[in-house]
Amino acid sequence: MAELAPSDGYPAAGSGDSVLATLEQAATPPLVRRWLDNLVPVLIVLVILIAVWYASSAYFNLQNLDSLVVPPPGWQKLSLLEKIHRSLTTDQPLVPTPNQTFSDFFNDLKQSPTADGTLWSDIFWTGQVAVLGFLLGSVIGIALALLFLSSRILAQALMPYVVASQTVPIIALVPPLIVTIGLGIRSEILVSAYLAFFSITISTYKGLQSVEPLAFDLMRSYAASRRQIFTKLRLPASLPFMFTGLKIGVTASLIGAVVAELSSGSSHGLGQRLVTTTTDGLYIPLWSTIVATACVGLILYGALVALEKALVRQRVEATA
Amino acid sequence: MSAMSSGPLGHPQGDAGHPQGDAPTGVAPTPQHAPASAIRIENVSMVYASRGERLLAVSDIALDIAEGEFVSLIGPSGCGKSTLLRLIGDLLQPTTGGIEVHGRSAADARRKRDYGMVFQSPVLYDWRTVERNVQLPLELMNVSKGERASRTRELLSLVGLEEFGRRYPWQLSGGMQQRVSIARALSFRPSILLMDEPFGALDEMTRERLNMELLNIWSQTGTTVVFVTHSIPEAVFLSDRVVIMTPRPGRIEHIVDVELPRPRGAELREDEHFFHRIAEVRSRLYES
Repeated sequence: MAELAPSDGYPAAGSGDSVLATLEQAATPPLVRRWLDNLVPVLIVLVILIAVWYASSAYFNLQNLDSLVVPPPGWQKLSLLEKIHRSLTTDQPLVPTPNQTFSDFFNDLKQSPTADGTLWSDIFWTGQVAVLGFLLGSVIGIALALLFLSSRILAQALMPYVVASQTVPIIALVPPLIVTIGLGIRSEILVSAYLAFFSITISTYKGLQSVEPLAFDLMRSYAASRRQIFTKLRLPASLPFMFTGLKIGVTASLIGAVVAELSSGSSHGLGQRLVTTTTDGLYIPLWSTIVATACVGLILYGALVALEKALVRQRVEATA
Repeated sequence: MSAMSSGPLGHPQGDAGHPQGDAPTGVAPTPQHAPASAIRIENVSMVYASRGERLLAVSDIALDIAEGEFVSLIGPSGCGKSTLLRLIGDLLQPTTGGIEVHGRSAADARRKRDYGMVFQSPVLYDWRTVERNVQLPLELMNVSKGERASRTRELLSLVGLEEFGRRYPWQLSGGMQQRVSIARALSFRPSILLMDEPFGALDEMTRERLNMELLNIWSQTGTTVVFVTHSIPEAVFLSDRVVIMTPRPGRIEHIVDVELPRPRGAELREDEHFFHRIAEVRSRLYES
């Protein structure tokens, strides 16, 4: 078998090793390629979403302009296409377009982060409330799960109340809370924690109970101590479950923070910004506040996914 | 139920009068018991009680297993063979009768880490690499890091998985996972290996290969093995003695001595004597 020039791109016929090597290459596409494969469907949906957003901007703004008592000058004589164009460019839209929303969003971000009343300061405020509420909710959530684990009777006695706590609409709890402990960051953190702890309790409790009986038998055969059984078996086995709860909890804590600001008449935060922009009829800043809130949520969620990647070693089915 | 009341031995304490319990080491050994018995099961019965119903799981079991012996427990499902294995391992406690392991109670033996256990499913910890799974018992027993590492290398090469130490269990095939589980059971050098249908979930070819490997490991370690199976060829191929059990309640019906020469290799499976032993076990199993 003569040596084949490497440039001809084909493995030498009959050389089993190189055939296998090419097969292996074919079986595992390069990382970038797989990454792109995952990204393409996401991008397609993004394009559809933006299209729907533009369409609804056009539709609702057109209706709005049509129904004005004093329509813009010359409005009646415009063709439909021109009307749609006006609907997408009006500076007082009912539903701002994506480009209006995002340019307002980025303009706001150019303002000084330290100055009062800027988008940045509201992001920091709400982010801080959500993070502290999440931490408090996690501590309470995990502590409750451990308590339930320690005593079946306690679990049976307390579980109905834990479930019932989540059936109370969170907005209903804000006024009495404000009355009791006053306006300010403490009550906002409490609302946030109240919303966050539930999923953490339930999933951690489930995780701590997820160990198969044979794994305990094994620990028993090693004469392992209770402490060892907990740290080497129960806790690591519960982590994937716990993280499912933590990821739901962190988004809930942000909802809690925003709802607390929104319904308490707070003078800070994204929730307050949602209220004031709505009542002032400033719909472009309203929508850029929504974008900012979504970004905070994504960052918090992403941080937990990163922590999960670092801590959880078992194979977990990819979850959103 | 009747077996319990008719049993001549009431309580485990009854064993206290037995001679081997208080025989000092210096005394000349009794010639009849040339190989010291590792496990001594005396008139053990066990009643499962669940939701008010009581079920006699095993009844009047008496069995002596010698040091270094390979004994299989075989019988149809529900004959109590797994229960008996768990009784030996102190994962269950007998209702009446007693179990002695090296002259101690089963509970003491467990606390002294005499037992390595292997179950039908490998029960590996998903979040630990193969290496760290094998090391788990050593970690619990506070063995130093260096010793853990060298022992792990040794064990992984014993079960032919040197190259897989850094993999996670879910990256291995079922047969490989079970080999990891055997390595883990051997890691702390237990004197007794208790195996509950360890190869029951594997395909025939893998099972036969692992049978060979197990015999090889057994001959190197000299461990006493109690092996639960429902495969007749597997029991005959591996064992010194095959204990045949019958269900409802679980009793020992027969014990078949497998006097086939060792070391046993693949060629034994073609041997006429091997077939005779299989036929004997099978007929005993069906007549009971």
